[in-house]
Amino acid sequence: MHEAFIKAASRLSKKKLQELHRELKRHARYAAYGSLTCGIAGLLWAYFTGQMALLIFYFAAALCSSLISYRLSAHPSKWIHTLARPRTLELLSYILLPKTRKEVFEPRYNEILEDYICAKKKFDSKWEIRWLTFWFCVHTVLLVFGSIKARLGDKFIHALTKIWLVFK
Amino acid sequence: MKLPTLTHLQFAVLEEIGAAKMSGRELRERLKKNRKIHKSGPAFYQLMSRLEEAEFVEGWYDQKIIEGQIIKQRHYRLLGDGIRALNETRKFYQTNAVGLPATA
Repeated sequence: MHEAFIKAASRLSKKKLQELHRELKRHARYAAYGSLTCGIAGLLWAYFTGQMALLIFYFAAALCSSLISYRLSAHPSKWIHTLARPRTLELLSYILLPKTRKEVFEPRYNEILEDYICAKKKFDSKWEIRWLTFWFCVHTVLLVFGSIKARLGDKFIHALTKIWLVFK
Repeated sequence: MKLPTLTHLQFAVLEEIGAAKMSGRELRERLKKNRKIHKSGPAFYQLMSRLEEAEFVEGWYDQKIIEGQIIKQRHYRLLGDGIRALNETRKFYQTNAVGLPATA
């Protein structure tokens, strides 16, 4: 999408491009305001009907969508480009404890990264790189969850079993 | 009868490392090929982390640069306590398991 945007943009004149950019920013800002308004309406509705789970969900959803839209309005093309980078996904690992990240996540992540870089050398067309990037991202996300599971591991499962036996 | 300090999985890992220095990837491949032990990446590194905590192995990072990107590789080698535990466990299996071929 980003490449297509740049390609299309290169054919336009500077004035037209500025106009388009301004319009895109305006629309994204409207989307941000819109989602915020919807969020507040949902929040009020959930508050008055007393559904706490719904209230939290609405609040989180509204906040996320307005933040994303507002960020998009500031730098539309840059934002998309940043999100598509594998490096951004590495940030996900920071939800792990430092020890887990260093000893469980990082060694395997570096292996995946090495494979990804080597594969990128071999396959260099646009769709091949997209495919590789997609799977690299999927593996990274799975790795984060795998690291949590490995760290919690036996102790967590034993604790759950004990709780289950007590209530049974 | 005193039970060994290592589990069967830890024993297999330590035996596979032996006297060599080995990267995590190489070690996993060897375990898969020689002993048919299939462990997922995080589970394997968690196992190695526990061995490091017990001071049976030493782990460190080596860096290499591929296409301008720094790649860190985790390497392992056996420590004195690891060799001791390995011998102890090997002795246990040799004396208690009938029909098990001697490895040392």
